[in-house]
Amino acid sequence: MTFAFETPWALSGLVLILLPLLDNGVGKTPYPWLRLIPEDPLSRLFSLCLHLLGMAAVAALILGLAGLYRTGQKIERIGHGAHIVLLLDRSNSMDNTFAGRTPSGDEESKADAARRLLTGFVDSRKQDLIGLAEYSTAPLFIMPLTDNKQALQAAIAATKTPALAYTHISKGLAIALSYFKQQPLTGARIVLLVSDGAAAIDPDNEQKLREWFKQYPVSLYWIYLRTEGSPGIDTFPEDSRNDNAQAMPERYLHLFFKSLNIPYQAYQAESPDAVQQAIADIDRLENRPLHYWQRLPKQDLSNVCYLWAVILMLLLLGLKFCEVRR
Amino acid sequence: MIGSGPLFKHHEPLIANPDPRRLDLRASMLDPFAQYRVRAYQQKSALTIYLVADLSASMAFSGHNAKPQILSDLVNGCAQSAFEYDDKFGFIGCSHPIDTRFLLPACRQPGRTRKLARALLEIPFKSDSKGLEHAAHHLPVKRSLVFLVSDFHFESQRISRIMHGLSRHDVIPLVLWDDSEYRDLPQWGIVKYRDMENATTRTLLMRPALKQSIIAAFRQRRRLLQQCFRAFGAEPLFLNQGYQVEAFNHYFQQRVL
Repeated sequence: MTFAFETPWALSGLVLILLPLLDNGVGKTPYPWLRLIPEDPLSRLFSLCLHLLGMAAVAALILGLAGLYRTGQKIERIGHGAHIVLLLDRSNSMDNTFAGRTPSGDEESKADAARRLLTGFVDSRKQDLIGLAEYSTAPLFIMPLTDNKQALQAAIAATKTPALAYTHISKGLAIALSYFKQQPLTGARIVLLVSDGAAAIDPDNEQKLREWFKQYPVSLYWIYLRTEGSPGIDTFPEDSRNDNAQAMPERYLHLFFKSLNIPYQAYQAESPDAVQQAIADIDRLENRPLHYWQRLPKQDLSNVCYLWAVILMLLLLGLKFCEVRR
Repeated sequence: MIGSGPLFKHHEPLIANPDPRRLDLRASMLDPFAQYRVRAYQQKSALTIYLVADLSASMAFSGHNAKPQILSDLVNGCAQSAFEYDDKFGFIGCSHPIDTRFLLPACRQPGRTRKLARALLEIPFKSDSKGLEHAAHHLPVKRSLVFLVSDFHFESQRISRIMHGLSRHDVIPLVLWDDSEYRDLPQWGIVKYRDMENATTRTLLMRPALKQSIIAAFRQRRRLLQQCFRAFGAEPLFLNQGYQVEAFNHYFQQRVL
């Protein structure tokens, strides 16, 4: 635990601590000859206490003025859980319902369903470090891996704003993987991709992604929010001319993930309930010991100092009233 | 001393004092043994009374009675009774070093003593009590009656030295103490006392037990002072309630008997 000060020069006031040593503040009454009064250890102790009280009060005031605070720090923690990066699709189509329409009345858009379920998921994973990234045409860095659930909920709630543009999945995956760059390898690493479609990955990006997936051993879960009527990930095209990444991006993305040789699981969700099923699966599967550092923010202690100064001064004031003056 | 003074002292048988001129017929008639009684007169003798006063800082203390006021009253009272009997009165104020302003050689001038008494109320008391040891140099060679006024708040060896210096005279130590120094201390509370002579301070957490022990310390001090003065044949007079003529009368009655 380390302490520091906002205005260290105010500490020069600590010299004033010596003041109560000179005088304990009790009003003086003249007396002809003190030698006649017998020695009294209790009075001597009491006088010492008065000096110390005065010194402590001055010290508390000065420390308060100097702005004492505890510096931010890291605490080592061990839990059960995983490092999870939630990768959310923010393309236009996410604002439609599972039926592919603009939601009306009680209907829930795919983004709403994803938000609701992810909120529940984050709540249920108490000890995980969870990060949030989004992608549309460009990737969005939202929240680094953290155990601050409140911040995460806020970040997830913030996806309520209208969706953005297209789907550029390779960049999204890249930013999700980059979350693991500075993290030590403990516990499970999961990328949870929530999207309602896919896009072709060009060969350059594909090469890079393969490299990174090799570098950062992650498990990949893909929750594919399938719109009614759109091709599934396992759908084989009837016409072999359509069997290419441009026409059937979901199928080719699925194949790409499979070829990565990493633990990979895809869920085709056609309704909000199916999404819940996928999340429950992850909840069950990924629970390994996790070693991580918790960051504590800097803590201002000047209030505590002032509180103590007030307590000590009230005490001294009370003693002042016990004084007998002639 | 019996002699030819104007003051009547007592009757004596004619045998003891064979002076028929002083025969008192009325007293002789009233005598149950029918003897002649002769008046005896007190020899007129000029006595010199000196008041040697401690003017150290502790004498400025004022509790129920201000000690400078008591001192001033003593000067007035002693001077008045001295002048009534045609005695001389002198004053030695012992600061350290002795200040000549507070030296009054034996005289019969009421004006000077009154002026001195007034001046005593205004002087700053700030020296220590060492001056008392030098008082003897300012006293006359002739045996005098010396009132030694102080609170005697100093070491008893110094009291012995002072009494040695005054051994030629008839010394009556007057001890000025005040009840607020010990008997009237508060039962409970916080007090900080500053020594009037050396400015040291002590904080006391007053409680009945401590008060009792202070009173006991003063009682012991009183016994010590009595022993100290009795070793020189002097009986101290403790003035706790200020200047009271009755205390003096009582003291002198005891002394004669």
